[in-house]
Amino acid sequence: MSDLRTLSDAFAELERQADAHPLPALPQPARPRFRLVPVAAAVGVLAAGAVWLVPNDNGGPRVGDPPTSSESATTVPGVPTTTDEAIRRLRTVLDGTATVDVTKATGEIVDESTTTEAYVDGEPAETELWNGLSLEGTLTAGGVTGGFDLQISASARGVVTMCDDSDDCVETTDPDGSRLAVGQWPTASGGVTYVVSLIRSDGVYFNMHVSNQRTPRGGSEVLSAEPPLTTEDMAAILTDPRW
Amino acid sequence: MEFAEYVTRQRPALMRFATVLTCQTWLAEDLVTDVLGRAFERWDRISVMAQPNAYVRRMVVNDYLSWRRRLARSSPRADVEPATEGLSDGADERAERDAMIRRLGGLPRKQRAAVVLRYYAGLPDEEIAAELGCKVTTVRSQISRALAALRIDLTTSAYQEIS
Repeated sequence: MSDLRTLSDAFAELERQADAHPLPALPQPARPRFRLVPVAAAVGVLAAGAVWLVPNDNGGPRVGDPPTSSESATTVPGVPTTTDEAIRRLRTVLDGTATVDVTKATGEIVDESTTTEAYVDGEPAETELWNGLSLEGTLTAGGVTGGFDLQISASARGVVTMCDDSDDCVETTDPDGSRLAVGQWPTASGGVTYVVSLIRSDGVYFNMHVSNQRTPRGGSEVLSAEPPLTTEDMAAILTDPRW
Repeated sequence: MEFAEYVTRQRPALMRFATVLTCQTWLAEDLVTDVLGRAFERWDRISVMAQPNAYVRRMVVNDYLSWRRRLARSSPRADVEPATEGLSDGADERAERDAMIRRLGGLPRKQRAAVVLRYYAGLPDEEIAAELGCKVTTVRSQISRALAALRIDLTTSAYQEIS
């Protein structure tokens, strides 16, 4: 057994290594303010900042990997497991009220019940791999076009709270246990992005961004005065039973 | 306080805190850079708070526990490596300390955050609960489990347990 002195020594060593680590350049103020940055955005940032990355060599699926096959993971109920299926269902849910042009589609959802899960101290260890898919592109409704992205994950495990401390995000919990967060942020280039996140009662996690810019992350051309959908529209899409 | 002044003063401490929290300097750097970027955008509100640094530290914790950080951690550039030189302690102590770092790094995130906030940041359980968005009893149970996983026996500890 150890004691708290050993823990203190560990903290001191980590501090020493932090001090030895070269500090990065001063931050740039162009990052979105919402906590739940879309996966596509995160992937984009990671891809753009290749200096931050090394290949994931753990042998498992990687974030942003394309679907390996259309027949994989068809046993996850109530959620599209491939990007092709997700696009089809999204168009079904939109039901002609809006059209989407998907320019990027990544990921897939696998059946976690067939995977081996490690345990730490009697609790499930954190799953470090994203078990989800992401769509990105433009969406047009009522003659208004803007950028959108949509992420769907089999599990919201690890999500503590969907809103941060900003006053432009509201989270509600429905009687069935599902949690919905609605927010928005102004982008650095003068646009606005709406975000709606949903954790369904079955644990499936949806996260959707719609912007009046070409990409919801900002840093792109402003296509319209307002995003093509309202947050109410987005909430209705995510909570649609046809998913 | 101007944002640039705040960064100059507090970034090293934030980097230390984030490194202790994550056990990974690359992730700590990423966290601190990202959080400071967002803090800059709302600095007009943060700077007038009674404790701006506590708020920013909370942003670091929240960001660390957030979903997207799970993505980031799947692509590490480098883990913290045990130091091999310039240390004054003996080999046994060094090995014990490095083993502690490994055990700390293996804790579930919320447990690790609770341990760091109590034993590194020195926060009372009530504040930890507020930072983690859970009940005080949950904080205590998380810390209790974490101490067991860290193999820390408080009855033999040289330090008094905080709160």
